Amino acid sequence: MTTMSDFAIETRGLTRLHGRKRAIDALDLALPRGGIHAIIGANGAGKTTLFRILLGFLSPDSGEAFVLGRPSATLNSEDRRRIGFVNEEHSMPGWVTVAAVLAMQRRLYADRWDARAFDTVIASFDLSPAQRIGQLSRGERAGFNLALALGQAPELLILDEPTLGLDVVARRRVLDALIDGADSEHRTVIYCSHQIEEVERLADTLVVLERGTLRNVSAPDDFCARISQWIADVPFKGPDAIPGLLQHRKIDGVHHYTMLDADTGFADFLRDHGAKTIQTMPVPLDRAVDAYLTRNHAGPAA
Amino acid sequence: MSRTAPVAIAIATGDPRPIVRQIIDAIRRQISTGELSVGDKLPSVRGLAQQLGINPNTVSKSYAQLAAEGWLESRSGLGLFVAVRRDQLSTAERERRLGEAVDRFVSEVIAIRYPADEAVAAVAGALDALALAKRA
Amino acid sequence: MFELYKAECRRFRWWALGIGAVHAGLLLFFDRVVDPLQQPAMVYQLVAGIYAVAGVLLGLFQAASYARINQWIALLHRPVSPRRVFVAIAGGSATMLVAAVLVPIGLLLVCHGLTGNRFVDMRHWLLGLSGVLIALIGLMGGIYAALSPRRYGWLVLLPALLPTMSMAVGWAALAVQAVVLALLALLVASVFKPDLASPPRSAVALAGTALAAAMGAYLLLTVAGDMAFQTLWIATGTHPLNSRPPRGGVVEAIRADGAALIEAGLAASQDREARLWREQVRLSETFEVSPTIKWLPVRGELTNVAPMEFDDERRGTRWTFSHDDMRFHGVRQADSTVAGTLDVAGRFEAPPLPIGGNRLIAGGSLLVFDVDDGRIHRRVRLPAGETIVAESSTAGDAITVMSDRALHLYDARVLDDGDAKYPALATVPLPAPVGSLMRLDLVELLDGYLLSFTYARDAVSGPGSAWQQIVKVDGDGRSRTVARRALTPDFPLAARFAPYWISPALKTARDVIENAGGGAVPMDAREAVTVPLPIWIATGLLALLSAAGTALLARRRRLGMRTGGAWTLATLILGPPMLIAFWLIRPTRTL
Repeated sequence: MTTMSDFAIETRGLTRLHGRKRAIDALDLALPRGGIHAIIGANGAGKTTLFRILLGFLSPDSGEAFVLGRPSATLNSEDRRRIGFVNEEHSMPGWVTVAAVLAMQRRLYADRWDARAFDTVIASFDLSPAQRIGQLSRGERAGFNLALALGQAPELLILDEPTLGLDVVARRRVLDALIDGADSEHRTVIYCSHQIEEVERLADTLVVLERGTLRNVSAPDDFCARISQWIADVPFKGPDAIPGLLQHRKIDGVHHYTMLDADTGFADFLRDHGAKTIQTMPVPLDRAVDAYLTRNHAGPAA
Repeated sequence: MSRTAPVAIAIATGDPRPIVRQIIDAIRRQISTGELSVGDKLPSVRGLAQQLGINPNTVSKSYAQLAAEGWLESRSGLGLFVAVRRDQLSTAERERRLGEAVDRFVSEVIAIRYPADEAVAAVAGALDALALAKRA
Repeated sequence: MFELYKAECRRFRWWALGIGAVHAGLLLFFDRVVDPLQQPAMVYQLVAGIYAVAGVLLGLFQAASYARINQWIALLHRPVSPRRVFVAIAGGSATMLVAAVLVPIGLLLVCHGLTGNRFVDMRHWLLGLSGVLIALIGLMGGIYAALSPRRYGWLVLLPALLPTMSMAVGWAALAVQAVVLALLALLVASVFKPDLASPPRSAVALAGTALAAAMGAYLLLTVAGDMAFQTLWIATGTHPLNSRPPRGGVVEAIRADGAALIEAGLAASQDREARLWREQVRLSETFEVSPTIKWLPVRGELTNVAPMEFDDERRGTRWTFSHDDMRFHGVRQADSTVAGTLDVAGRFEAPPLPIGGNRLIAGGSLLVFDVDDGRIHRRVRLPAGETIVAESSTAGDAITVMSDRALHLYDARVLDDGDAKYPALATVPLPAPVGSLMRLDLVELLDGYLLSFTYARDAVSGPGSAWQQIVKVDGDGRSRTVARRALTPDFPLAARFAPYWISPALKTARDVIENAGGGAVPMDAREAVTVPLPIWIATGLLALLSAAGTALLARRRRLGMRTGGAWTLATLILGPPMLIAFWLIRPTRTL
């Protein structure tokens, strides 16, 4: 009998090397049960590696990982019954028919099959039972796969780029199905997406991963609130070293600074450097994430 | 069993305000203009979340904030209803908040370098339209 | 997981149907042209190879569609234990493979018995079953190759080739194949786990994988090492088999002219008549006696040492031997009617082997098919317990009949009238086990014979010892050794004893595997090998060094005392191959 853990997923000092590069670097992450948690990061940030380790398909080089309180390395078939997983490749054997896959899925999860959730999502797609998976288009395969995952009614649903390749209608259906039940303790959704507007709408928690390390765990609004845009008419090139700077552009002679955790002290700092007019405003989430993730990139010279 | 009043609000994707903020502002506007009357029943958390296509927890937070500010009141077992407007804030507090709102607006205007007199005219026009809608 | 099994079956149904049809067509075609049941062993080995390759390709293809990590996750992330998934997947392809192989073979055997009064022995059904087992072994090998970590997967599969060298016969051969299949299936099951890139977690599976990998490393070192060594040696131009062999050595003796060899053997003789004999050798004719036959037919064997049939030209009848009733069955070629059965007085002790010139050997009997009366007669019967192990050769007026105990000389007329009339002229007990005998030369003297036994089997590139022994047989049939000289080995000590210093434990295991269930193989009776002390010292040193290496690597990988200790102990017992296996398998801390 497993004890009810507080966390949907938990990692302790998780490290995984990929050659010399650290795909995951001493990651300590704990996401609570219930709610929708979004993980974002640039490509190569370690998101896919993290999911594979959580599900036990990759071994960490050090540290531990747990899902629903159970160690990832020793998940048994009962644990896997409660966990759903969808990745953007939507791998299904190409030679099996839609009807056969559905029948197998319904039999495997007979005790918890959620026909309503399945039907809601599958309604956007025009699939016939006799079609082979290999004959479906990428979007149809994705929709079918997601419908199957939602029909499974898992306690923990892990999605890696679930809406990639879906049209507007299908994407809406999927998101609606994910929202349904999001406030229940018995349904946790962890998903990974580059569609920041979806993240903004859906996520209770925003997890930012960068080069295998954890950069942020908070509500999306809280993360957004830390980032502000400052516009000032600092003369010439402006100050060289600015702590907390994420992005800097000079447009029409006016400097635009995107700042992390800047307060009114920054206005004084700018004034010290000769700025006469200084304005600040909040930044929408997608710009905030973009600015944060690209802060170390060398940008075009002003 | 009172019927749920329709709430016609939308979330704008490019809006720099957090979604919680957008919902709060939109519901407050609806109440101010009279589209939502005192005693109207608001949609359930799940219902509004479905309507807007967002996380129900976000709707919960908005409702909680509105209830704390006195715009909505909760009747146990029945749901959330538009409350009688009581001025909960002191004059000083209201002046402070107005000053903040003016500061924010002016910052935006400066940033987009809109001529000041035209901006003032726009504000007057918007407030007039609000009053019109309320009376209607 | 029945649906998964059905889905895999359906996946390959067209493949199975197509290949099965082609297979059946080919078999039936060959049945019209030749007698597929009376082919020499090599033909069946070729066919078995084709079945094995078909199985491997099927296994590779099937498993490759699941081997990438995203597909593997889709397969194994379900509320079903990985073992059941394995059974469903492998079961599906195995079912289709068995159908494609077994049905056409069954069809052939059924049809064969129906047309032209040919018959099918029980052993032929077993042969068909053996083909199926070999195909399944290929399938498991292919699946394992596709799914196991590339660094050591290929090494683990190498020992599966060992039973192709197996001496097993009949039912025993099937048992050996079944065991190999079961072990391979277990290995594949051990690979069906979520983390494909890591070695198996359970101690049993890991131990099995490690042992197989160690055996694979041993085979690689001995076989490939030997090839590399000999190639380099040839390149230097001093390889004894490839250039002029050194004097007094084994290779020189094997290749020498008979007379010269006997002379060389006599050179060291202390006998006072040696000089006399040497002169006679120069003047007389030397005869080379046929060497030991490697395989003798065994009742119930699956393949044939040689085709078990011969033709009676005069009567136009073909006689084919059946293991089931141990008689020849005749079929008239002209009209395919039955021509009765052929037996010999006192029955055949063993399936007879034709040795040319209408002669057959069976057990301890030399038989002749008399063309005049169309019957088989027993001409020579050796004492009980002796088995004839070579073809008989002519030596002047006499013929030789070599058994596993002695060399018998008979008057050549015994072939016409039997040994009652012409008993043995001489019986020379063999000085050493017949399997070690490399060549036997005979020269007729005025008062008897000189026999030169050259024992050199396994002594050219192997660890056996080699010597030449000359035996004089005098007129009344008595024999005595008159000369003996040791032959110096041409290959260096290290090369000859390589299997011993690489891993004596694995060498023993290999011998046991290859000899399991063996039939009567005359070549197997060998002189015992004496391993010199320097080799034992080298073995011990290498084992210790390898164990130290393993212990170091285990410490670096932080395996812990118990696990590290187990690996180190295993390396101490098995030597360098286990170190290689440990290094490649790269086990990690078991959590």
